Amino acid sequence: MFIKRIFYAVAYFAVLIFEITKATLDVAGRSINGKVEPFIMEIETELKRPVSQTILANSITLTPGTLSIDLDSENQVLKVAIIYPRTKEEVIPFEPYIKGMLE
Amino acid sequence: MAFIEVTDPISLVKSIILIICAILVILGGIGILRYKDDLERVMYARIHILGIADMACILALLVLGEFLLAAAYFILAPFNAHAISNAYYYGEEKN
Repeated sequence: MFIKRIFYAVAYFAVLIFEITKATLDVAGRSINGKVEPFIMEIETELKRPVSQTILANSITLTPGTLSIDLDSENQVLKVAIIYPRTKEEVIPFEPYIKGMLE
Repeated sequence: MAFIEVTDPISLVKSIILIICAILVILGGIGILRYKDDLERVMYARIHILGIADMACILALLVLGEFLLAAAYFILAPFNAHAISNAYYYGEEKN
């Protein structure tokens, strides 16, 4: 369904901008109070197309506080550097929207 | 003349957003200079903190009316952060 994909795209941008705002304030606070512990983790995604994996990696890097280092497209594994240890769902909250938009 | 512009509500909101952007850039500068090399993997922390400056720049460009520049920055900003971190990860000495 084409209209459903447009709905998912709008929801994806809304979630992305909300997450960017939240993460910017969080990282700005961390640069003041010094609670920084850089950490590298591997995240498995459900996305199969390389386009959607690239958009996911770009969104991760665009959010301050998370940074995608490497993307293994065949095994669907992303290597992500995080400013403070967090769970997987807090790092990629926009994955279901990308899945609905492009898969 | 300047007082007339400040009492205009739109330019007042624009001025407040620009001041918020300036504060964010100052916080990013403090964060970059603050962490020394004794912290483990401090390079990634510096790239994370520079992301604040990117977001402040995009917000300032949107307020100033340069929408195409803001969109181009929004798309292109992750690429160089990814390139720096990828090069650092694979160029680092294995320990």
